[in-house]
Amino acid sequence: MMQHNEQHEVEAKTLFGFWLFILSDVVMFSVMFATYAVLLPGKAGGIGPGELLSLPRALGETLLLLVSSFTCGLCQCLRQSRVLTLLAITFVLGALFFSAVLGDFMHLVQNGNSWERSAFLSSYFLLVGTLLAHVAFGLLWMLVLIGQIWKKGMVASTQRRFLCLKMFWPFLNIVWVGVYSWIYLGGAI
Amino acid sequence: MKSYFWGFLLSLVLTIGAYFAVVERAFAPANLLILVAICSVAQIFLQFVCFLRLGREPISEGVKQQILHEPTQWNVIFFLFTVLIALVIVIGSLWIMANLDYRM
Repeated sequence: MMQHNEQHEVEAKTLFGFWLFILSDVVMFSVMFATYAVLLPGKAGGIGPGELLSLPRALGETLLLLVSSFTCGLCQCLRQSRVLTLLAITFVLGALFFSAVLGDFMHLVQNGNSWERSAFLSSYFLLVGTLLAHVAFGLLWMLVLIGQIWKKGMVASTQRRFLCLKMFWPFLNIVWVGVYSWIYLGGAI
Repeated sequence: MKSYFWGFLLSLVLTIGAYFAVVERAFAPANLLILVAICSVAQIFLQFVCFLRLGREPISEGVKQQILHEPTQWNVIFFLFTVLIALVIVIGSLWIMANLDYRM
């Protein structure tokens, strides 16, 4: 019993520490949003976000990430089979989102609209690229965690990692809501 | 758990609603911008509360988040502080740069 309480205390501290990390990430992303808003007029004779970015694709990507964020937090109980199934679904949806946004990047670069084109595009790639890097690490995290849960089961360490992931992934979706609303919808108005 | 599903459904409605309002050009551009702003801020807070359980009991049975049971909810206080910092950064940057632009 004593050991059980101690384990809960470690878990609570880890989750609180991870919460603070997420909040520091919020500050970092808000700096990038501010940079984007300031550099938005700096198009250097190029075209703006309205003509450059595809809205239907952005909606599709948003829905993919929203559903994956929903399935990620759906496991109330910590039963191994259920956690593994939901993690696998979340991973597939997240990977689809990742490849879709990467496809957008390729499309932009191939048409000569890379980050070297203008200040506006630099800040766009900085913001969305940083988010995409977070998503890539989240996907890697899921793969490793699936392997660990597969091998060790839901022990204290894997449970803690899973609970942190359950905070990290919805947080990425929250940042994407900002990107979707301000860059994609705001750019199209 | 019920709030979790509601959070998801409302997020879907806000996402798709904002999308069609913009695509169909339902309002004048200025009003549309306000609508998108409201939708995004509402959805961000909704997901913090429903998905990240801000200020609520954690969903999992396995966890007793002791921090949440203390009289001071430190995670909520740190969250509010972060919101303040983020607002200062975004509004302050725009303000300063607009002011510089005006004076140049």
